[in-house]
Amino acid sequence: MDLQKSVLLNNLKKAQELLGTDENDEYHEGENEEDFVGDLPSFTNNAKKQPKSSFNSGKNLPSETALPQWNDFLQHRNVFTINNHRFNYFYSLFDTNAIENCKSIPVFIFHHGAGSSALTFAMLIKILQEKYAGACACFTFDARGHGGTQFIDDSVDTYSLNDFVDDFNANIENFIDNHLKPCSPASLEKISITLVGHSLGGSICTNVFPILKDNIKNKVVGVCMLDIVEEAAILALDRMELFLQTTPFNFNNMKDAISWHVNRGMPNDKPSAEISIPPLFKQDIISGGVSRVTDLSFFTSYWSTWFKGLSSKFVDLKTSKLLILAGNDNLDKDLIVGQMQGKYQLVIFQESGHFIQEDNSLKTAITLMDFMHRNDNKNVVIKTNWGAHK
Amino acid sequence: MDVDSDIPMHDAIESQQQQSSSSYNKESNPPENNKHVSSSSPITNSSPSSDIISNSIKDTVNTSTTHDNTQSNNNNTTSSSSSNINQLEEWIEHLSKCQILSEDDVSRLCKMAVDVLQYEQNVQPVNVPVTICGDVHGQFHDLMELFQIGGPCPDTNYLFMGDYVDRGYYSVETVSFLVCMKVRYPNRITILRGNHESRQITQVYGFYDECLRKYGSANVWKMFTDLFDYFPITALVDNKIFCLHGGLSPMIETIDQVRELNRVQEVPHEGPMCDLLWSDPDDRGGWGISPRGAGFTFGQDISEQFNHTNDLNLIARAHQLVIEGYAWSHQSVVTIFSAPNYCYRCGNQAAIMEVDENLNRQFLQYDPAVRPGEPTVSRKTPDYFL
Amino acid sequence: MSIAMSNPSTATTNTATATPTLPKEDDLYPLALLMDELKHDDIANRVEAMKKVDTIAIALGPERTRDELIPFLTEVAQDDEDEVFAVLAEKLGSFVPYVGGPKYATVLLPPLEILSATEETIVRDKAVDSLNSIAQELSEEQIFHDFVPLIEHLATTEWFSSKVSACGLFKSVIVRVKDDKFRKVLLQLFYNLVLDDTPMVRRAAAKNLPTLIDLLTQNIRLSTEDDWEFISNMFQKIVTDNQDSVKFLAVDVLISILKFFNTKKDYTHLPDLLHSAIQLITDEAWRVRYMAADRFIQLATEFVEQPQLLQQFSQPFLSLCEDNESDVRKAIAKQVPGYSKLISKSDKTIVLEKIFPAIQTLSMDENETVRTSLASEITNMAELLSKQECIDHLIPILLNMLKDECPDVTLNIISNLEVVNNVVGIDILSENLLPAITDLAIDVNWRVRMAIIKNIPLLAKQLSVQFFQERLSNLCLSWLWDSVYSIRDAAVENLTKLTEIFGSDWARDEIISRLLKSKSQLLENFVYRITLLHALTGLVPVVDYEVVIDKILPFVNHLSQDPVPNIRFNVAKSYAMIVERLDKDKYKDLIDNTIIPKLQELTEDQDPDVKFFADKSLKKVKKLME
Repeated sequence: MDLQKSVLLNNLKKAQELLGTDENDEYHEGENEEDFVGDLPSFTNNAKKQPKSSFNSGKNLPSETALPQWNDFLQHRNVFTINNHRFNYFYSLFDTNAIENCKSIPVFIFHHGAGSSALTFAMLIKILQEKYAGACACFTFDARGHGGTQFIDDSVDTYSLNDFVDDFNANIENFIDNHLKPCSPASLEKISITLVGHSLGGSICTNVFPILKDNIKNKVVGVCMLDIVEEAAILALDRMELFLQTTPFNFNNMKDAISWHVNRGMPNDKPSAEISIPPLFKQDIISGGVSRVTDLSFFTSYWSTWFKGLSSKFVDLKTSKLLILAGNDNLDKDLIVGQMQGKYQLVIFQESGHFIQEDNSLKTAITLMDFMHRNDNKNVVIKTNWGAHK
Repeated sequence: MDVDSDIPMHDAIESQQQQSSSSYNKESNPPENNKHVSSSSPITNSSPSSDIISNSIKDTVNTSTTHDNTQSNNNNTTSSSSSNINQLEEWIEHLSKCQILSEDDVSRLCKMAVDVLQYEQNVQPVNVPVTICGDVHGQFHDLMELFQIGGPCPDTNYLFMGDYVDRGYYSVETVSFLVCMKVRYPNRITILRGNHESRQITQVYGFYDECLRKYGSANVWKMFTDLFDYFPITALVDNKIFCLHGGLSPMIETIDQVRELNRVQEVPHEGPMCDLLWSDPDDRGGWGISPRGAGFTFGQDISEQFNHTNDLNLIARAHQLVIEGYAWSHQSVVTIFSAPNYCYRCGNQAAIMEVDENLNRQFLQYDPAVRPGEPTVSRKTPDYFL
Repeated sequence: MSIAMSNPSTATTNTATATPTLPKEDDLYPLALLMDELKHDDIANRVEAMKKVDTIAIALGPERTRDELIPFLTEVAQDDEDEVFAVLAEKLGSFVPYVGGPKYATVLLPPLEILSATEETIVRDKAVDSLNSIAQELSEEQIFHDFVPLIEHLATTEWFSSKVSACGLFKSVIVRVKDDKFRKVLLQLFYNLVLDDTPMVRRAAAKNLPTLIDLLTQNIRLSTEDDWEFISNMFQKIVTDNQDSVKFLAVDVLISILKFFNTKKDYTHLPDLLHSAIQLITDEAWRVRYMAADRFIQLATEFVEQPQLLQQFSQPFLSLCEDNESDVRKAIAKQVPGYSKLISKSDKTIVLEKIFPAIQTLSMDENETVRTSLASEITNMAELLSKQECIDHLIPILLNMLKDECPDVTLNIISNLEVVNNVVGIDILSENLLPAITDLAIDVNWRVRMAIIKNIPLLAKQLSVQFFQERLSNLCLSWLWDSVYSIRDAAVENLTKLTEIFGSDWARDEIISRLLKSKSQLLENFVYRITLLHALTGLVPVVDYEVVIDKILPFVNHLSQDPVPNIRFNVAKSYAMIVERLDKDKYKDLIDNTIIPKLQELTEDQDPDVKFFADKSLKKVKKLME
C-alpha cells in the first residue's frame, strides 16, 4: 500500500514537474514558431487569472457619476405595461438610410439570465450596431423581478418559466409592432430575427420560439443560447444555497458592488460590469449604500421549472440553433447526441467566464453575425458547380 | 486564433495554410500529382484450379480488380527494413495494451507515416473484401472490441473513415495504434481524415489536452496534427462504394474533382474539402445550410445524381451519431458510427460494415467493451447558473 | 493497572543519540549519504532513500546500526511525511538480523512505538505488523519486560490511534505468557479497549478479539474460567454496541467463541449462544444481518453436533432469504447449498419443502446481483439430492435461470454444470439442459455464445462420442460461421480441443470431411475461406500425419492461389505449421518438392504482406529442415 501511494505521489510530482517545465518550453516554442502554438488555450487560461487579482489593488475606479449610462450603448429606453408589470426596455433601431439596399435586416432580441439585467447585453449591442454600421436593430429588457422593471400589484410575484416566457413573448410583439413596424413599414418583410438568451434567458428563448405568433416566427432565423447546459444547470442549482449565502445583498457603494462582481468573474470584464452591474442595485436610503433590486432567494421555489427538458427542446427546435459555451465542452447527453447528429452549431470560448456576452463581447458579436448571415435564407445562395461540366 | 469553435475559423486556417504550404514545398512529390496508373494488375491472372472453389469466385474477383490503381501501388513503402517492422510490431504490442509510446517514438512513427500517407491519393482506391468503420473518438477499448468483432488486422482489411481523436479518454493510444497499423500494413488498412483530425477542433474537444496531460507538452499533439494533413480524404472501394467522413459538396460533382484538390493542409473552414469532412445527408431535397455551421446538407436527389454520375452503388460515411450504429438515408447513403455509448453516456450501439468480394454487405453491431476502471465522467459544476 | 515495568532499552538508545561516537570519516559515508537523502526536499527521494535503509544497516554492522542508525531513525520517525513513515515501519520489521539478532531486537521497539501512534492508518498497520513479527523472535523475558509495557503504554494513551494499534498487538503475547494472573491483566487491558469511548477503538478491539479467542482455542489447556468471564463480557458489550459498525463484528467473535467451546467439548453454553446467533441474524441493522448472512455456514457449522439446535437456524435462514436488503439476500444466496448440506444430514425434508421454495424465490429476485450470486453456487445443490429429486426440484430452477435476462446469471450456471451432470447423468442433462444450451449457443449477446463455447470441451469430456456427434457437433461447426470474429476464433480452438478429446480419426471423419464438403457457394465468401483455413490449420498439431497430408495440405495448396492476399499470407503461415508438425525425415520429399516450392512461389507474390509472411515461413521451414 505505501509503495503504491508513494509511487503515485512520485508520479504526480513528476507530472507536475513536466507540466511546469513544459509550459515554459511551450512558451519559447510559441515565440519561435509564429503565432500558432502561442495561441493555445492553456495560455489564455493562465493569462486570465492575472487581471483578476490586479483589480483589487488596481487604480481607482471612476467615481459613480463617471459610470457609463445606458444611452452610451443604446438609442432608446421605454416602458411597456403588461402581465402586472411595467417592463423597462432598451432598443436601438436601424438607420433607414443604411438599410435601403439590404436584402435582409438583422434584428437581435435578447433575454438576460436570472439575477442579471437588460444591460448585460449593452456592450454586445453597441458592437453589433457598429459592425452592421447601423443596419440592424436590437432589443433588450429587464425581466420581472429584475433591474428597472416594476411589479404593479401588491400581491406576491411569481417567477416560473412560463411567467418569463409569456413576458418575453409579449415584449417581442410590442417591440416589433410598436417600434420596428412604425420605423419603416416597408422594411418589415426584410427583417431577420435572432433570439439570444444568456443562461436562464437561453431557456426562455428556447421556450418562447414555439409559441411566437406565426408572422413573427417566420421572421426568426435562429435561436442562440449563451452558456447554458441543462444537466450542469440542474447540478449547479444544488449549490445555489451556498452561492446565495456568499453573495452580499448590500454594498457600501456602487464601486464596491462592481468590483465585487468583477472579482468573482461575474463578469470578468470591468468596462462591461460598469454598465451591467449598476442596474442590479438601488440606493439604500437608510444605510446610504446600495442594495440589490433582486432578491435571488425569492426564486428558489421556481428553479425546478427553469431548465427541465431544456436540452432536448433546444435540439428539437425547428429553426437554426447556436450554443455558445464558456470554458469546457460539458454537454449533457441530449446536447452531445444532438451535436453529433449535426442538429445545431456549437461554439466554445475556452477563456470566457459565464457572462460570455460581456467577457467576450466582440467574439460573441462576430459569432452571432456569422450565424445570422449563414442561416438567413434572404442572403444565402448556395453556390454549386454541378452541371457545369455537361 | 480567434474563436474556439466547432467550426473552422478563418485566421487560424490562414496561418496554417502558410505553414503547411511551406512544409509542403519540401516534399518532392506533391500528392495530387501522384496519379500514375499502376500497370500491374496483380491478382487477375491467377486462377485457382481446384474443384472446391467455384468459378464464380474467380469471376467476381476478376471483375473487382480494375484498371484503376490498386493498393499495390504502395509497393514503394513495403521495402521498409525488417528493423522498422520489428520496431512497429513492438509498438503495436505496446499500444494494444493501451500504453502510450514515448515522444521520440511518436516522432519516428509520424515520420514513417508521412512516407506512407503522402503517396496515397485524395481518393484512395481500396480493394474488397474490406470492413468499413466510422468514428472512434479515443474510445480505445471499444476499438479493441471492434477488432474482436471484425477480426484482427492484417487478416481482415479495414477502412476507417476518420474521427479517431477527441472526446474519449484514449485519443493518444487510439490514433497511435491506428497510425502504427497503417505504417506496418499499408495495404491492409486505410485511414481517412475526419473533421476532428484538425488543429482547430482538437484544441477544443480533448486531444490537445490529453497530449498535454500524457506527455507534458504539446509536441505530440503537433506531430499528429501535422500528420493529419496527409491523411487521404476519401476512398473508393472497388470503384463502387465512395467512402468519406462527412458527405457531398456542391462544388464536387465528380470523383475526379476530389482528385484535383490539394488536401495537404489544415481542414479549411469552407469549400469542397471542408464539405467532404462536414456535410450530412438530409430528408429535405437539394442542398441546405448545415446546422453544424460548416458543410452542407444534401438530399436524396443529390446523392442519387452523384451516384449516377460516378457509377457508384453506395456512399458510406460516418460523422453522425446513429443510435443503432448504422443508418440508411436516401437508400444509397449509409452512416456508420463505431463509438459505442459515445462519450460514455449516449447509450448508442456501434457498428461496422463488412463488404465481401461480391460487394455483399453485412453490418455488425456491438456494445461497449467491458473495461476496468474507466474514469467516471466528471464535469465541472459552475458556482452559479443564473 | 497492575503492570509496572521500567523501560530500560529506550533509555540506552536515548543516551546513544545524545553522545554519538565519532567514527572514521570514510566509514561515516553511507550513513551520511542516507541522512542527506533523507533530508532531501523531494519526498520521492526520501522514500527511495528509506527503501535502501537495510543496505545501509548491513554496511554499518550490528553495533553501529544499534548505536547510530536506530537512534537516527527514531528521530526520523518523529519528523517526516507518512510516505516515508510507511516505508520505515515496514523495513524495521525485518531489522532483527541487522541489529545483532533477537538479543538486541528490543532496540527496534521505540521507533515502532512512535510509528504505531501516527494517524495514518497505513503507517500504523505497517508498524503493528512489524512489531508482531519482531515479537515472534523475542524471548519470554523480553516479551514480559519490553513488549507488554509497550502494549500497555499504547493502550492507555489519550490517542485513539495508539489504542487502535494496541488492539493489534495482543495476539503476539496472549498465549506467550503462561502465568494465568498475567493473562488476566492483559485481558482486563483489552476489555478496557472494548469499552473505549471511541468507536474506532472499539471496532479495532472487536476485530482483533476473534484472533485472541482462536489462540486460546489452539492452547485450550491454557485458558481458565476467568478468561472466559472476560471474553463473555466483551462479547456482550460488542453485541449490544450502539454502533452498527462495531456490532456487526460480533458475528465473527461469536464464531470464535463457538469454536472454543466445541473444541473444549463443552456444550453447556450452546443454547445461549444459539440465542445470540439468532439475535444477530434478525438484528434491526442490515449491516449486522448482512454479516450474519455472509458467515451463515460458519455459524451453523458450529451447531452441527446438536441437530435439534441446528434446526432452529432454518427459520432465520429463510427470513434472510426474504430480507428487504438486496445485499443481505445476495450474501445468503451464496450460502444456500452449504447450509442445505448441513441441515440435510438430519432433516432432508426441510431442504425439499422449505429451502427449495426459497431458492425458487431467490432465482426470480428482482435484483440481478442476487440472482448472479445464487447462480454461482446453486448447482452444488445437486450433490445433496438423489437423481429424481434433482430432476424434480433443481433442474426446473436451473432451466429457468438459464433463460435469465442477465448474462452473468446464465454464465454462472453454465460454468458450474459439471456437478449436476454427475448426479443426473448425461441423458437427463441432454433432455433438459441441452435445449437451453443450444438456445444460448445462438444468443444475441456474443459473450454468452462465447461462454457456451468455452464450456463445450468440458461437456464433451463427459459425453460419449456418439452422443456428442448426435447432439453437439453441428452446433460446434455452425459457430465457425458466426458473424463475430471472436466466436469463429473460439470455434476453431474448440475444434482443436475436441480433437484432443475424441481423437484424430474422429476429426478426420466428422470435422475435416464435413468442412471440405462445404458448398462451393459458401466458399465464394472470403470470411468463410479464411475461417476454414484457420480451422484446418488449427487441427494440424492434433491430428495424425496422414490426415495432414491427405486432407489438410491439399486444401492449403489450393488456397495458395486464392485471389485475396489475406488468404495467401495465411496459407504461408499454415505451411510453416504443417512442416513443424510433420516428421522431417519421413516427409522430406514432400516438404522439399511441394511445400518449399509453394512458399517460394508466394515469396514472389505481388502483395508485400504475402511476400513478408512467405519469407518468414520459408526461413522457418528451412531452419526446421536443417
